[in-house]
Amino acid sequence: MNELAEELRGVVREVVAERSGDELWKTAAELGWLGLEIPEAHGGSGMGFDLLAPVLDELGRGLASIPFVSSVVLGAAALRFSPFGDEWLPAIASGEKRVAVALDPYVLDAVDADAVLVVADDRMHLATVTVTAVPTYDVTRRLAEVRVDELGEGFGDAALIAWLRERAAVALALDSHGGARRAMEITVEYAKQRMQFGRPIGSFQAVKHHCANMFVAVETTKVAADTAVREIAGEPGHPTRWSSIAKAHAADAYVDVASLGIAVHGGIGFTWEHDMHRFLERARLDQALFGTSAWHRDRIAS
Amino acid sequence: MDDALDDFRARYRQWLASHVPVGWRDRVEGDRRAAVAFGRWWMAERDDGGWSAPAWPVEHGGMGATLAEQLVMYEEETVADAPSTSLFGIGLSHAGATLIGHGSEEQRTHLPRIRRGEEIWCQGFSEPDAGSDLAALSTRAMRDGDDYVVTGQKVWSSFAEHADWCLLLARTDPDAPKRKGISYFLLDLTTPGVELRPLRQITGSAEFCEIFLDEVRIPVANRVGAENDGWAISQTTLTTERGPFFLPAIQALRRRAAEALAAVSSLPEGHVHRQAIAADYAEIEILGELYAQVLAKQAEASIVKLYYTQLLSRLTGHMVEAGGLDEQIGSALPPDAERGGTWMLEHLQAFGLAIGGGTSEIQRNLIGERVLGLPREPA
Repeated sequence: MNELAEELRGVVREVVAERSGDELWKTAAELGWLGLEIPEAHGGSGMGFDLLAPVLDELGRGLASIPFVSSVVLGAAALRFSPFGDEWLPAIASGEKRVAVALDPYVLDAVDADAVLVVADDRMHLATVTVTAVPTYDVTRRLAEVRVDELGEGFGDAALIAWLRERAAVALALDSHGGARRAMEITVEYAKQRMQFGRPIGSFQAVKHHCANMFVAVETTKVAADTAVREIAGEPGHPTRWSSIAKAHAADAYVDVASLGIAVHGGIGFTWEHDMHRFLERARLDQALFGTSAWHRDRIAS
Repeated sequence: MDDALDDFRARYRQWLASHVPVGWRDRVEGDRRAAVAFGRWWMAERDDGGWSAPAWPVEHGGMGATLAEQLVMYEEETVADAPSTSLFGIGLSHAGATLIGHGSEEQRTHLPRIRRGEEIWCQGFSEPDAGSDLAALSTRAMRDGDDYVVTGQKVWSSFAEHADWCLLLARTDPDAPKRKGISYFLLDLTTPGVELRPLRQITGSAEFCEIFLDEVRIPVANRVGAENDGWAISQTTLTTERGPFFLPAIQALRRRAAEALAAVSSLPEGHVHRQAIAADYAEIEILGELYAQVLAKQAEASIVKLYYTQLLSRLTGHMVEAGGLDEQIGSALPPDAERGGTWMLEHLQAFGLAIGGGTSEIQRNLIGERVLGLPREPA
């Protein structure tokens, strides 16, 4: 299983390096990433969250802009417990339809979604909605205001909703890890190349220690995310603290790493052309989506 | 495999149940000499049962225990509230590894005495002017016939006050580059010219000593390895014999974090102390998982040392803050009073742990240079 995950990771990394947007989404569908967790009877491959993990990690690493978290990690998972599975799951697996799930006041990927699942009275609803895009500092993802016009039939229960929130949290922990690791790698590489005072800036302790702190943040984020993936592997009804431990730690660590990355890069890191600010903006959105770090810390202590 | 481990656990649990003396804490409470004598007795008791020196190879009288077995032993000792063997830690880890790896046949006759608690060992490495820059040490050893004559000063020697023997680094060639002129010695602390002075630390206790050496004669037979080869020997034993070194400390920190979390969970959501402790708890749980991975991979331990000491300082500091004025009522003196268990004392202790065994700044250098491949700072 581990080997399969690593193999998948390698493929995702290559594809994400070459493609983006709709083209990446199409390839993701062709390569079966969108149906990884969808039962075979519905056109998927019936695998578990542990195989979604490397995809999420690599999409984070590549700052990818496809609605994988919304449609695959949340939408498909919710619809497996609905009466609409026959209709929607094959279409999600093929990439033909995209689903968003409204767990936050601003909804990730609701723009261009073919359906929005909303929460009301501890149930999920395939609602009729009006979607209005809002601008976000993170240009790699899109949020929208969602007005519910008609709730429609409900399905699931509080345990399903709690489970979806945990999956969302772990998905973003993985996204944060992927992005933070890449930001660290770019920064360490730069610290080896950039010369000032006649030597690489990475030889100065002030810079070296920033890099070491980034390393600690990234490695502990990996441990947290991996543990959360193992703990969340099952079905609804088995809550774990690890989803919150991983989400809060990973998003906070991502912000720290991206911030240090800009500092180590100096002026070039402050330019729009350089990627470093995109990591920071994505980190800040990761931190705020699907339960802020403070929300998750309260959950850890309850 | 797991069955064998379960069986191992059951056997050790049974042995502990029938050998840990009931009420042993009362016997040693507040009496250091009684505690040392009791510790020696306990080591002999363990050796009789075949439970001493878990990490040593069987041919040297050790258990040849796997890492998993060592972890099991530690867990069972915690459950059984077994007496600590930390007084014998330098002997079991550093002296043991050094003698097994580099000692002569004659020198290895120390091994059974270490196992049985007949010898307590300390380390004479650091000096007032050689801390992070250990290789700058200046204690001098001059060859004189079959002896070396050693003069200098050592500091930060844990448990030296009770020790019988000392692992000593001294300079045998002052003209060689600093790492090339150091030799490794076994010093009998009863030798004339050795003077120990306890060093009181910020927690009030005197766990460390200064060691003053004034023309102390060490037989050549007590030099480990070749002359001027001491630095390399000290490095191999420092890095390869860590084993589950941090395990007791990390497990203790996890227990304390769980206590702290329970203490703040009744505070309202968003409360600053609840938030801070939850973040500390989360990272301490991550530390536990990280440590398990580092142990399994035998990987670079700098990250564990750095992260552990940071989190210890943070958690205890947050609990000191949460405790407010109440937490400030207490005293580090007299040092032999009941200790441990207060957040403030543990917070003070944390500063020492972040310095000893390579400061946090040194750990960051190691991560930067050895793991990330950043260039060294020019000398």
